[in-house]
Amino acid sequence: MVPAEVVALRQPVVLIVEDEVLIRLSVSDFLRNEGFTVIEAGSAREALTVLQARSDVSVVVTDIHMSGALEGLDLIREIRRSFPAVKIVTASAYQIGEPVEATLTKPYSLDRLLFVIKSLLGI
Amino acid sequence: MNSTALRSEVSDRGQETVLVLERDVLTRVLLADYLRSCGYRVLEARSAAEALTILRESSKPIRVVLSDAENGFKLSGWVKANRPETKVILAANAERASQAAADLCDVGPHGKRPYDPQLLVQRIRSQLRNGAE
Repeated sequence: MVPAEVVALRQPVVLIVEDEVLIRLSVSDFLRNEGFTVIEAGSAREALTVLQARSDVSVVVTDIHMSGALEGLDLIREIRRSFPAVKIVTASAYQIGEPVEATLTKPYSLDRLLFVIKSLLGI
Repeated sequence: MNSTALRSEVSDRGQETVLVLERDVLTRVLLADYLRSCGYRVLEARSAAEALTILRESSKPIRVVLSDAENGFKLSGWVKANRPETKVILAANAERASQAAADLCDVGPHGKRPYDPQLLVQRIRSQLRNGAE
């Protein structure tokens, strides 16, 4: 059993789901420099694989329209069904009807993303 | 490749960026975490096409590409022709990739391994099992 004070000191884990590699890279680099542990997924399928293997993801930041069999909306619905404690931030050029904790409209600033994630985590 | 051979390839401290090219997301995440924990800046690619985009666009020199064999073969010719200063390490499986990552850590910014590469292999296998369930 990991002591509570050690758990509290761990960096929050954020999962970035984005199929555009340079966007994914820049967002991830930025959040790592801000002290987060960042996991990168290039598709909704990869994101679900990560969530099934790890229980430490606090926030998922996901694109909506991505290449692959699963899209962002499918991912959101599966997270709601199977991982209800995970908070979801969508990053898209389009408005969506799914219930999520926060939405960002592309193009968004990295500072805005940071503000949203910190607000969701209460830090 | 052992750590002695790598030492001459990765000597420009402070500019040490490693590109991890690995198709399997769980293996990629663990390899990247391992390399970050010993001080490298790590970029992640899931395909040869993504790696090529990163290599073309990166503003900082990429010292090493650590790649699974299938993707690496596709990429290594381009790297040799266009980024001759970048070393490509091909790893056929998780054991080889873990050992290569451990060797990079030996010569990297901190000069030490975050943990034994065998533990990395165990973690990769464990996460692959969890991800498959």
